[in-house]
Amino acid sequence: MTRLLILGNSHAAALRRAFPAITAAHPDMDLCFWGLPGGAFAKARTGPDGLLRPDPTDRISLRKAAHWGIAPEIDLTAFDQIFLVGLRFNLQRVHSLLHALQPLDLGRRPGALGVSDSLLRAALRAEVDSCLAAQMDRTPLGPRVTLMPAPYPAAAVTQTGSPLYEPLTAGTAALPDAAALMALYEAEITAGAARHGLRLALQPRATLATAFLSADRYLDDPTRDGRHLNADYGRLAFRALLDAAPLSPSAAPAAPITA
Amino acid sequence: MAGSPYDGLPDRAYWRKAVAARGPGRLRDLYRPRFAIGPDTPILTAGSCFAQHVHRALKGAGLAVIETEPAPACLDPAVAARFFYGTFSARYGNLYTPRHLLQLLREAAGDHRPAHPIWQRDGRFFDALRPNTDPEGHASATSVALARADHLAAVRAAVAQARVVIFTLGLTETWADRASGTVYPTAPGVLAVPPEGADIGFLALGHDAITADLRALLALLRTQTPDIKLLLTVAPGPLVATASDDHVLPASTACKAILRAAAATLVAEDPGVDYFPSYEIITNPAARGGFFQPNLRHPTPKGISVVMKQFMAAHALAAPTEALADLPGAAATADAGDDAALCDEQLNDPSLRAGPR
Repeated sequence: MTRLLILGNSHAAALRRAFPAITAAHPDMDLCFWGLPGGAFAKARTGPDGLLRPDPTDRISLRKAAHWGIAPEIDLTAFDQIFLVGLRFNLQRVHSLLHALQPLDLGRRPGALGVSDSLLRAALRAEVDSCLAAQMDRTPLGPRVTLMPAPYPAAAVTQTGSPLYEPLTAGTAALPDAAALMALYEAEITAGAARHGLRLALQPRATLATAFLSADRYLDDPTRDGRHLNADYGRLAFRALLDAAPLSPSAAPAAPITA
Repeated sequence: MAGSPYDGLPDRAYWRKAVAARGPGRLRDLYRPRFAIGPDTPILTAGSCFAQHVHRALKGAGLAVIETEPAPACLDPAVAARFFYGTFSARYGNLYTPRHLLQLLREAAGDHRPAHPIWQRDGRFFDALRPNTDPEGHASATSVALARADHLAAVRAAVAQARVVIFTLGLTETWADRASGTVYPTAPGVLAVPPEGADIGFLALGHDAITADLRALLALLRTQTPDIKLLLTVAPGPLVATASDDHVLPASTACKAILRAAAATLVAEDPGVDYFPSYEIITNPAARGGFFQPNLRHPTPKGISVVMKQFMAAHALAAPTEALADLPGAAATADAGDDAALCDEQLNDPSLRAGPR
């Protein structure tokens, strides 16, 4: 039995919603979930005792933890594999960079400063490393961890006048070179994870509508927000994480090799 | 008995009183400006690695230092610095000789087309005239050309605004295309490789060549701004390496002597030119080498602070604060010992390069 922890923020909750389907498909796995909403998860930290817990000085975090019904703390060493889901890799700042800077090998773009692709890569790398360094500072992660970034917001956020409208995301998605820019960004988050000794699974391609946007059919509650995705997405995300992680039964460390 | 001409001179004329008896940070009446620089005087900076310290210090002191290629606000400061944003008045990188600056201004004015402007390494494309401003190069030659066109526009804008040009002379050794005379800040193979067939060789500029280039530079600047002033300094750091076949120590002395003498020649013949003795402050024997970092090349933050305080005091400008040591460049220099990322010349020593080239 492989002990697997789904860890993360509200975006990891999509996988939690898919637990019934996942456990049915993977009876060989002992699945656990530990997560907190974004702000609270960003304050959760592993203490000297090796246990990850919400910030004990932050009442909001504690209240949210209670609301989510999670264990007050969790021992990350108790799991064979950990899927950390929902890091945003400073995506808002990344959007700003992609708006402001245009790699000149893709041609000029009005309103954007033409730069070398290497400059844009370096700028993205700095954002990715900043995010990962902060995460590693709160909770050191090791080779048992596979990351998956927060999914891109749904295409619904590009509709002006909609309460879900997100101008920054909509602007990036509308860039003529959005697909190439997303490839640059995703290459940097993949490389950034590798620099920290972590694997990274990208958002499943099938769940994308276009560059930087998820397909609307995966929205969990379109009346609430345009960012959080549903159990169908969670199932596909879990599949992608499984593909990225060395999680075949033979890779599970629990069973000793006998002659 | 008649007195000697050396009798009765002010204290500043006597080594014992002016230097030996004073701490290296307490020199008095060292520099008497020939022209005023006020807080609103638009200043263009260019030159060697040391010029970066000048630029940052003047900017930090709130002077009207021109930057026509400012770092985008969203860019991480460390990335911006590595790509030469906020280092000089435009992103031209290190311009070690007046010939480099002259060539750049002629190109910006449309009067010069550099030979072999794009070099390559490992499938990447580099602007041969400023290769370290994009240290990982570009994805295509077209990208280099477009970026250079933007850069030249920024150079034109900077020159158009400038009323004072502060140029720090750094080197006499350079690399030039033998056919066209185009000069490059780095030798072939240091950061990138010129196209096949390019005949680029070592060029040692002497006093006459340096002064001629300075005169031509001043004349060119005056075509746009007749009353523009040129303030020269000499970078205090010795050479990283010499390709002259001489020992690097006498080669450094010769280089600095030539540059210093050229500056003196220009000052003597043109009232629109001044010299600020940053070289002398850092190399002052009274400092006993204390204004150099352990590598004996890079100035310490303290040394830079002394230089800039002298400069600001002479111009009756608000003295830069002790925070000078907190400037990005100063901190990097203090911590790393070498500010390799911002000095093309640093790459002339293979042992100081970050990785294989």
